Amino acid sequence: MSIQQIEPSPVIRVRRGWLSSRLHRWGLGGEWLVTIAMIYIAFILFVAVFGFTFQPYPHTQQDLFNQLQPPVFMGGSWEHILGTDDLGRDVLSRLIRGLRLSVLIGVVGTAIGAILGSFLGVVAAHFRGWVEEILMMLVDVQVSLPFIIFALAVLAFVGNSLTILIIVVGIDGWERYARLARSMVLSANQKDYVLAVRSLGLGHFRIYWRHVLPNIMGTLIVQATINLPGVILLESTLSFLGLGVQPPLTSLGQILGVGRDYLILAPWIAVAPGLVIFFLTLSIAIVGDWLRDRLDPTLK
Amino acid sequence: MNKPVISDVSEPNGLHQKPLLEVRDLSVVFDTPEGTVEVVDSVSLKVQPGRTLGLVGESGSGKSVTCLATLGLLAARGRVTGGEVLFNDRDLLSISEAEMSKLRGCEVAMVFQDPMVSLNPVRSIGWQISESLILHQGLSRDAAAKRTIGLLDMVGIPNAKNRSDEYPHQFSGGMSQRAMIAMAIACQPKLLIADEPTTALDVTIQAQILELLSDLKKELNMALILITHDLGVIAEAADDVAVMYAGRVVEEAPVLELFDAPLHHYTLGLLNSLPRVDRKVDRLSAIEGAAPPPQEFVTGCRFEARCGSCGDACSGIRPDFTEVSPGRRVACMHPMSIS
Repeated sequence: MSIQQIEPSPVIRVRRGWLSSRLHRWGLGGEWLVTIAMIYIAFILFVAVFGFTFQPYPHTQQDLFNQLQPPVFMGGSWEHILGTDDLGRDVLSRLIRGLRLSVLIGVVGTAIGAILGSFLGVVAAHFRGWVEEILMMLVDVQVSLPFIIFALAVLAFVGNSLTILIIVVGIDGWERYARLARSMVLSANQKDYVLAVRSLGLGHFRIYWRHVLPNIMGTLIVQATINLPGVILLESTLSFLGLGVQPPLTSLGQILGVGRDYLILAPWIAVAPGLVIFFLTLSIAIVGDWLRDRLDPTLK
Repeated sequence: MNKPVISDVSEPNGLHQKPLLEVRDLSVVFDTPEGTVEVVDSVSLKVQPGRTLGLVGESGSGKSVTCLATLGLLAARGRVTGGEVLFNDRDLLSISEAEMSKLRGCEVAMVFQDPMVSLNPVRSIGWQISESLILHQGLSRDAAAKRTIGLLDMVGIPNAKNRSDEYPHQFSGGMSQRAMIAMAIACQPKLLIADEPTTALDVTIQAQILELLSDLKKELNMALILITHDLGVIAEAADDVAVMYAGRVVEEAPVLELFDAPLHHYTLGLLNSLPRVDRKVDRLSAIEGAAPPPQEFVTGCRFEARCGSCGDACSGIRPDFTEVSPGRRVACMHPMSIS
């Protein structure tokens, strides 16, 4: 065989810079919006985890001589970059601290809903019969119930603690995972590969855990990214209404709730956390959308 | 080739040996919204160790259901209503699900019709094969991976070491079926059930897969049940044949005798409808009518409506088996005469 024969045929190569070629390798070529959203999410996560190292003041420290200071770009001083609230607490410090709790509640709450819902969905699909009837009835109840009312009732009656709050926001959305997991397991159980591994003597648990779950995982993850902004917003809503995170703990929704009283006088108190929540939920939604398109074989 | 030799030599021995798998009067019903339908009606089969039983019949004649019931793999709406399945003297219908799981893949394994959908799309081929090894033989991950490469080599997958890391979508149909076979024989089962293993493949690959199956059968000394609707496949690979029609076995015979002198009119019809290359025929002959759906199964001879030589006695009572010679029986009131 001569050397010419094994030389690759000429391929049209697009010259790209380092950054652009990296993005293409990660499947982000041309997806600038998604890239920006991802960077923003990464930044938020970084601040949530490591924010305490560069937080200028403790979030509860009051500076009563500097109440309602405007942020630096509205004529304030560099001492309080994003201004102060009615008690003279530094808004930036509170934002960093609040972010930490909001992200924690959002992620853990989403995980609780995803795991609980998917598990119940698999159980319904496996046992069928009355188990499925009851679980799907619960799903219907959950769907027809305005969740915010339910959450308010639980928090008002059971009392309020961080654990209860996380569980309550986690329960939100379980019915979507349950429906999704149930229908996907039902269709997966009809697939020949499940029959094939059963004929090899694998037990039910092993089949679900090692064969079916990896197949439906993609869809569940996408559902989680769609649900995550909702959970963060729910926590913000509850905190805004005063039934969520209680002082001295703070979350974005709680800061927003406090800022509401000074919306005319000192808009920055409410606007700063509002913008962070807005862009965070938007970014997660954009990334979730992109993930769904990438994982959906019919859209390729 | 040595195929006729095998049949001739092993026949007398094979018939007197104790069967590896014996299905006795197995009946299976499906619960449907319209009511209960009996899809398998008192089917009896015998598989001798080291031999191939060809199970032939039209779609819906109950071939696959019989085998799935044997392994306890029926879908939720299917129920076994009677009979027994003896495998090495154990009744598979009465043992627990846990024992059955241990047996499946270990002593009895199955290969399915469409290899492209029978492999898990998100796991690599090697992972899927080694899983059964780890489960049944308690091998370590490394040992299982090594053995997997050996198995892939054995079923004729070139460059097995690299290909074991590939995913099902990177395999062609024939290669996938080879991988499925590797998975099924991983624990050296005594019985392999192949449910139309070549139907989804093109003809050149079919021959290779059949050859592979009969080579492996000899090498591992296992018995094989070959489910097919293709008499060509039967002629090529089977030692004994059971012909099924509408949920019942209608004729059983060693393969050469079946092709030489079919006794049941349905078998004759099947053989006549094969295209011939040694004769000039204008039209292929077909059996008039269609096989009845399970809802319309009758107690009497189910082939009566399409049979040319039936008498009054045919409807009403179920035709009993007549033992014509050892290993050869037919369920017909007016069987073809043996010429």
